[in-house]
Amino acid sequence: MNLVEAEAKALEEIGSVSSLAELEEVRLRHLGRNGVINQLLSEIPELPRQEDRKSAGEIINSVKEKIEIALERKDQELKRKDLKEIDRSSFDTTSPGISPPTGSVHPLTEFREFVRDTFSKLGFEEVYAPHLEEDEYNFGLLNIPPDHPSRDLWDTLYLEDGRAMRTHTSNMQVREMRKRKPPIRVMTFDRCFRYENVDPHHSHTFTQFEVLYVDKDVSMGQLRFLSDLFLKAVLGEKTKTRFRPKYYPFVEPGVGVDALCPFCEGKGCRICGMEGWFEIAGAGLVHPQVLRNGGIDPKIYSGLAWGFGPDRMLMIKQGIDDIRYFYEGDLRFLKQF
Amino acid sequence: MLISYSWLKEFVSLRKSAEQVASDLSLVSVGVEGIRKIGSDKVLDIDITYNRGDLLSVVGVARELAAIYELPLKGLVEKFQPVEHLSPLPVKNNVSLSKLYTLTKISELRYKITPKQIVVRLEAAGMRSVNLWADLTNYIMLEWGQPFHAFDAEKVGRRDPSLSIEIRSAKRGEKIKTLDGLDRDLIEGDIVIADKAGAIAIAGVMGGEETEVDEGTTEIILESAIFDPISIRRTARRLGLRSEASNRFEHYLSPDNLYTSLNKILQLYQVYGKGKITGFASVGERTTEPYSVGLTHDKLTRVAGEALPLSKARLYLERLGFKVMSSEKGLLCWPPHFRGDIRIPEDVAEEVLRLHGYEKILSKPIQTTLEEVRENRQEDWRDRVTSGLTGNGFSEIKTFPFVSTAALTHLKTKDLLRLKNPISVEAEYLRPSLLLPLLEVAKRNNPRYIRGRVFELEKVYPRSGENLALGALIWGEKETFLGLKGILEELGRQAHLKLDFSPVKEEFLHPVKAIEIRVGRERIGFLGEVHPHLAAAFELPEAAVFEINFEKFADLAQTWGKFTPIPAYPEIFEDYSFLLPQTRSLADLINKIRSSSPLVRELEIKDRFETKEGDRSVTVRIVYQSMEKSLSSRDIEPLREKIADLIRKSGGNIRE
Repeated sequence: MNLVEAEAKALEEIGSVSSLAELEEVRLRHLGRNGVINQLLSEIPELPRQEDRKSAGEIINSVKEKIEIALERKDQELKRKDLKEIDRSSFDTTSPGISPPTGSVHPLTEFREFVRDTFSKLGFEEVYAPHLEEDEYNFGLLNIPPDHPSRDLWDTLYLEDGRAMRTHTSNMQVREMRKRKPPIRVMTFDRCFRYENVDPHHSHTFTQFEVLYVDKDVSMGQLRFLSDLFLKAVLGEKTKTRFRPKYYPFVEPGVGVDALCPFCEGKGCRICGMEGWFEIAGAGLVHPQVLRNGGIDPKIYSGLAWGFGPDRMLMIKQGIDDIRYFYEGDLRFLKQF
Repeated sequence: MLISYSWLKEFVSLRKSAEQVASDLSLVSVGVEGIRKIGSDKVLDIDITYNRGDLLSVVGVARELAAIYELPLKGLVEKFQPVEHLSPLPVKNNVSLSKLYTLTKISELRYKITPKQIVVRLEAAGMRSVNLWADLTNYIMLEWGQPFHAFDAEKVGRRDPSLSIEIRSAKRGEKIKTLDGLDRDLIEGDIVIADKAGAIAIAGVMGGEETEVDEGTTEIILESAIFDPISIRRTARRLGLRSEASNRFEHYLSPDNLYTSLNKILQLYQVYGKGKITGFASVGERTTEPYSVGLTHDKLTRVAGEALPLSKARLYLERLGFKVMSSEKGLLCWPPHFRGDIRIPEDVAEEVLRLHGYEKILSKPIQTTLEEVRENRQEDWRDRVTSGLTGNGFSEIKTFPFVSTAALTHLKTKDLLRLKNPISVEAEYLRPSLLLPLLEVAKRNNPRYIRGRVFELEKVYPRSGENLALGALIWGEKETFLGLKGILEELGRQAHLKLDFSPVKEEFLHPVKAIEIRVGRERIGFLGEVHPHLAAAFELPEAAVFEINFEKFADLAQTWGKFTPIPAYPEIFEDYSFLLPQTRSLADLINKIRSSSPLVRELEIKDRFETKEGDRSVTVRIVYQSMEKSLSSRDIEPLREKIADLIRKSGGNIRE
């Protein structure tokens, strides 16, 4: 193929190209390593005369340049065309995104993490105690001897082997006191069990959170501090709470903690049972006998225990009207969280 | 307990509304659960706590309100004083069963119907009118908290003319027909009131039918006693006979109060029944032995968290009926006879704070020493695994710890703990694993969610000991087994744990698609497709499940991985496609290729599918890389043949 033919063919091919990919093919065919132009250039050294070599080089390069310019023009043209096409294309950007598989954390777990974070900032350490418990840790060492009438506070499930299903997380108290030396700051968030039929407001399986703090000079004032701090974190800065007397055999004095009903702000509504207040936590100063049972000298140390029922708190906070949702595994419920 | 507001006003001149009184009682004493209007009266439903047995009466609540409002009490009577001309009754008491036992004989009674006001008040308190003689005992019990029981003296005399009454423990096999007409079997430890012919009442629980008072009764033996609370409670519960009376006997009762209320009831028998008191006997302590509890200023301050003046504390205590003396150390406090719950300085401090007002307790920041908070691997891994699984589309569930007998037909295991007092047959056993709860949850959701992924991280209770388990189940997906296995392997990678698997036979798992999970030699759980029959029983499509002992997992898990240097030299990628029958192990082949040369740096499964002919087709991508130099085609030439050979020897058929 001579140079004139090569030039004509290249320019013709460039003219008929309709896509950028084709254009690249054409470029490689003509200007590539094995293209006609390079072939001709490689033949130049074979020319015998210096002037011929020089003019041949010039001529071939000028053709090469023409082809390059044509390629560049075509390239520009095609890109403009391509852009116009992209501009003209349509895509519904309002179409919802493709969902990744969506999981959900159980609301009690979410709450557990929140509560743990709040108290671990104050140096409370998470502890566990058995669900299947010896009578003495669940009752006896907490001032609740066998057959004592105060046991009526707890309808208990028993195993055939004589152990109880713990009725509260307080079974951790004496266990932890015996393991540790004051100051003791521990917390637990775990399940408890009672002999109770399941209905929208009751469940034989439920959750408790409890902290125990034993140190020198632990007082009702500090109980108030801890209680306010936590309830404000959960229910909001504006939350109003109040203390009133409450009896648990393992504390003295005993405290019931009420929170002002967030729905009616104390006026009394159906949700708070016309009371204006919710009983939300139970607390008190650890009974000296319980401290002694834990190997701690009540003359030197005192302690506080404070606990609440996360199920009930979440029901109030999130407007959940049936405790059974927590334990039935209904994905219509769980996937909301 | 239901308390009439107008009745309270007979003992204390309340000027506040019933609603205000209820609110004040709640804040200072015990909770009031509600107020009901009955006629022109209002009735407070008071939630008496165990320590405040003294509030189980109109007088008790009136005393408390008098202390709260600093008002005087009125309408009180003196203690009953037996006079000498009363004939003694032969009574044998065992003071370990009955701290104080009294009998009073009332003769020449003339019956009339119970006055309307008494009937109304009994009914407002949730009791029924029976006849005048019984109604008066209930009326005074409501007013004073002390239960009474009236025997028909003539009927007792017919059984035992000597009227020798004895308090004793029931004998084995002893029976009594109670007021409700039922024959009751008694056991040793039940306290009975007996004459020579046998039991005439179950002490504190219910009287016998044979000696019941009725409209024809003209002579009564009136019992007023303080029994052993624990025994009363045990008997009443066993017989399902818990009553207003047995409830009061379970609490602390005061001998002083007994004698006061006895005086009052005898007045009523004289007024309404025209009776004469003709006999009396008592065995046991006649009055509460006074005792004192000390309260130092230091103690009060340590409980309150602030310094309250002792002079103020003294006033509060005196309002509550304490006798108080100042001593060098602080206050010496003698609780009133009706407050058996006050035993230690903390009890006294609580009384002071109650009257002072719990709401006045000032918040006091905690000041303490910092202590090391120990690492808690279980919590750390619980968080990681929960977010890992939920990120992979799993919903966390929480389920009850019980399994039903019916569900257990699907799980043939003897590794079960049984409850002594199950709530129902639905909850007779403790779950030994999470399998059944997971299946039940899948069943509950399945038609609504044709695919699902759920997990639970909670306790299971095999006989070997409760432990925290992680169980996960997926249903309705393609490749449930491999899909779930991939999830588990990912957990293993996160924990930098090498999980080993080997085939396992479990009745609840697919006969072939089932493996046990090990870390080294330690078995930590199982994974498998749910046995098709079991899945069908729970109306599920193909499902796969795993369960691991989470405590072991968290214990073995490594938080911090080790860095492996990334080679500076470029890698070469090559794909191999081959057919491999399901009878041959892909994992083994992969391991062999990996260890065939140090130049094989990585191997990943790029694609796998089942061919139309039913063969397993696998494409693996091998990454060759050297730590020392740039590899050329020549370097890996010998490896190609070696790997192809490995594939063929492992049963693979290389596809071109």
